[in-house]
Amino acid sequence: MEHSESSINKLLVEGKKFLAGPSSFLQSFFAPAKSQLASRGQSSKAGDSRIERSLAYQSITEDVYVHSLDLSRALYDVAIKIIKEAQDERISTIRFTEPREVSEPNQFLSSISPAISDFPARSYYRWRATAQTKSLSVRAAPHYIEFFIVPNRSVIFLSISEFGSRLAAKLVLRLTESGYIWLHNGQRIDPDGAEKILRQCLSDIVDEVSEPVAEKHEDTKLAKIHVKHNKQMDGLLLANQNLLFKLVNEQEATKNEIARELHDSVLADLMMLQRYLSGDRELGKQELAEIVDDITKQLRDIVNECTPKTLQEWGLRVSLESLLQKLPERSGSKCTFDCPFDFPTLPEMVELNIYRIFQECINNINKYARASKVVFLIRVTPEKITFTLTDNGQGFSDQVPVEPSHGFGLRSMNERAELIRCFYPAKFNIESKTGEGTTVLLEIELSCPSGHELG
Amino acid sequence: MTKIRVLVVEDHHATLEGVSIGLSREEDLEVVGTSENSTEGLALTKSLNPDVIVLDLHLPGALSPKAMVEEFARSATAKLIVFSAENRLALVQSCLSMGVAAYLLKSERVSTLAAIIRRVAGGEKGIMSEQLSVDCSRVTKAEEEILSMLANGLRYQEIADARLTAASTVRKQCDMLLLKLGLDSREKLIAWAVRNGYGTLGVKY
Repeated sequence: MEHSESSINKLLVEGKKFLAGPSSFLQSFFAPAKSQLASRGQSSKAGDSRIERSLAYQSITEDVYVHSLDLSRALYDVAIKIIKEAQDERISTIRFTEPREVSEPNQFLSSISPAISDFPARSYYRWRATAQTKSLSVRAAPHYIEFFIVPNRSVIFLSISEFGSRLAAKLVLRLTESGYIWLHNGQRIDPDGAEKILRQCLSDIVDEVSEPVAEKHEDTKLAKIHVKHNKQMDGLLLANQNLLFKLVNEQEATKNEIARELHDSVLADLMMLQRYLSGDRELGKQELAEIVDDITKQLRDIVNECTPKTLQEWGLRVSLESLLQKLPERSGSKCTFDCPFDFPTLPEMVELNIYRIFQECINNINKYARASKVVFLIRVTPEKITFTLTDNGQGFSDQVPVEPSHGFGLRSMNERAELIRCFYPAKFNIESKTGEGTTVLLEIELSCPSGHELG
Repeated sequence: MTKIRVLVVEDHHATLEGVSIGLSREEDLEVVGTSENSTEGLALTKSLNPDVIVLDLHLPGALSPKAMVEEFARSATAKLIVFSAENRLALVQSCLSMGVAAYLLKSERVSTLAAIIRRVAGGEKGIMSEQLSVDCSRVTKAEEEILSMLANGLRYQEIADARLTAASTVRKQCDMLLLKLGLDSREKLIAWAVRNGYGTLGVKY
């Protein structure tokens, strides 16, 4: 079963002999419409009369969508016939996806990226022929039918994978004085032309893989590299999707967190104030001022938590100390901040991530640790800065994070450490045992400030 | 008697006027100048040579609060008093370490400010608002309400429903109260609330 490239072309492009009466089949493109029911249920001629019906209408009264949908369906039947009658196994293994109406998921896509929102909201009547590495995707809209050749790995993103350079052909329905006609490249198309386009497309999707057996050995290496690249590509695509998913997820989680805090502190106290003012309790001026003070304080805490403004205005050392000083009034832990020397100014990105890491740690201590003592040691030498935050709280085991949101925080700390490593080599480590407290260590090496010398 | 010459730098107009008028009433104080931004404030510091400068932390201009305080501390022989709503201790300490003589919260009365100006002019250092150190053990009005609900026999969930919060928030607030009052159980907290008259506070739910 050996076939050279030209023999495949012969099979697909010139091999009309494989079709049962191809000429009559295609002549019907321009013949006047005959009986609408004539061919229904006749398998061997299933495609014929519908192509005839679709293409031959000189004055059409039906909905144009049904018209182009019919032609697409007929082309599908013809394609199946071509494949069935082909004797080359590489062609006969082409698989088909039945024609059906598919709505574009553009709402979902545009919610992720505004750049994609240009895609019109619509549905297409689609069918697909899939060979080993490529697919022919045929989509029909009211006034046209488009043929795309798309790599198989892109088929999952089909709606954003069909773009200009992958367009193999386009049939356009045009209304003229004599009725609707189908055009290809501005020329009126005849049945032979339509079939030729179809054959060419089918031949294009098998060409690359169906290299002659004789040359296979030489190309094995190349093919392997190709497969490897494809796998890497798939991996990257998947990683990219995961990242997108995570990003959106974490944005949601962050918003929820802020909403919950506002709801439970500021909003609850404002409601209390409203109840008092509307007569539930007599309030003195002093008491009123106190309540407003408390609300202001809570709001300021939430605002400070969200923005790194303190960091920008007061520097890392004061900001970290301030974070720690919040702890006693929130959780009752006794805190020690031990940083004998001020340290050098680091790149903004590094300071921000150090700040966020320890903000998360201190929040965790407040929420979960039930610690009575917390010590924050910062040691500075010309070579490195070491941050050590130790609490004597209840700790947690590595396997089972206390709460899902807790695990979420741990992961984001690791990611921030990763970002610090873009600037300096850095060690980041969390040690914890149930009942024995937690130690967080961050060590930043200052001697080689570059992203290229990481160990 | 020579009066103590004071410069007030403050961008909030009402506060500036209140402070200026209040200080002018004091016989031994004289407000020699006012400014609403740090650049002008620094210039006035040089031209007027005041004894004491009352300085807001957040002023319009290119300087961050820290840089601004440093700038004033460097260029003035005058004593500095920071007068701000900022109550975070690390920031307060940072100011004091830069040479600020006193740190007062904006909730203080003008008479207190005047008294502090006298102390600072007399050479005292490292003064801060008392509120800064005692603030965290004060029972807030929201906490009083929770105490009153506890004293009336409400459960966490019922308190949460009445206050429109989550039950976990009420639990946290009760933990906080235990901490502030030096108690160690919920039962003791309820007993404390009843003993101290929170059951008859007259709050309706």
